[in-house]
Amino acid sequence: MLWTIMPEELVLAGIEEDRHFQETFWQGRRFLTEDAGRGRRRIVRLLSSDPADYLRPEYAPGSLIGSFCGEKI
Amino acid sequence: MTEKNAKSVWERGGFFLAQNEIDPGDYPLPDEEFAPGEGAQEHNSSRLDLLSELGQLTLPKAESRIQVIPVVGQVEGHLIMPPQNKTTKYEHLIPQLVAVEQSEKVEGMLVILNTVGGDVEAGLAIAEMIASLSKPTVSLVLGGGHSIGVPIAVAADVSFIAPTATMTIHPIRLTGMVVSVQQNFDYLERMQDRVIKFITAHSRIREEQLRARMMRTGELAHDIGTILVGREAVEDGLIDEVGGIGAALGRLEALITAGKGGAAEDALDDHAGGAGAGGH
Repeated sequence: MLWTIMPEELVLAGIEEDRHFQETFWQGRRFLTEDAGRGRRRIVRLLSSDPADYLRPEYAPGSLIGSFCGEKI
Repeated sequence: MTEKNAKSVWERGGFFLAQNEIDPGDYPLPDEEFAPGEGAQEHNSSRLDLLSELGQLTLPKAESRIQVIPVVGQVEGHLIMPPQNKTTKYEHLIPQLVAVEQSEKVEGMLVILNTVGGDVEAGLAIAEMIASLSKPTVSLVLGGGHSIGVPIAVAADVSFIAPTATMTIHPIRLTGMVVSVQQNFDYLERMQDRVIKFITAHSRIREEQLRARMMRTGELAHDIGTILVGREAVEDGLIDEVGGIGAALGRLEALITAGKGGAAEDALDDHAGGAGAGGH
């Protein structure tokens, strides 16, 4: 149930388009990923039961797998 | 990575270690390739290379004692939103909140909101998680904290709103549909009650006043409801204080210190008693 001030047609525009998700293994963890072009995968979701994994920025949804260049925090 | 190797690396950079006291084994560098199962051996040698070539080490920072949780865009629920939306994904946020609760290093949490609302159940899940955290939490509404953003904002121990931020209080509706059956209407009422009870339990606003705000005509173009800007949200009792990042962080630090002092029971009170709000 969506409770928002944005109009429904704006929020849900493009929801019928197929997004192909795949499970990927990387660094010992499972991710749901989608194709990001040129052979790269973009993380859609981290599937892990260790809460500390969710604090790691390289595992955040939207990141490309393997591309985090910053310091580990 | 052997213990012996670890010591020699850190001895060379020993003056950095004094600040951090982190076991370097906890923080391997990210893999260069996709290949899972690359051993710690590779990580260690690349860090040694870095040290010998550049004379510096990539320092793993200590986990920050204050974690910041942004709640932005749409709160995504059981449906994956199309990509033009900015979303807050509760399936990522909730394990983060578990990590905050569990971690020994994290002492407090700041929730920053600029949301247009979103899924009711996901939003309530996030709000309940924030409310039930045992560590001090402060929320700051910047820009907007609309619809389901309201419960999330009030769930924190102390809530702040920037002077120009707005919060829209309006009823839950099935957008654009006529409510056809009595059961649909009752269902909406029950959902509404759920949310109202949460908001009144975590803020100073009374239920009648909240319902009155929700049902006000004339303010919103396509709906009934009220737009509260900055100070108005505080005057209504929804939010505790007007303020920005400085005030919010200052209050969080104060709550953390008070908690450590052991005399913090009243500082971390629910707002139902008004004790925390009345204190300032």
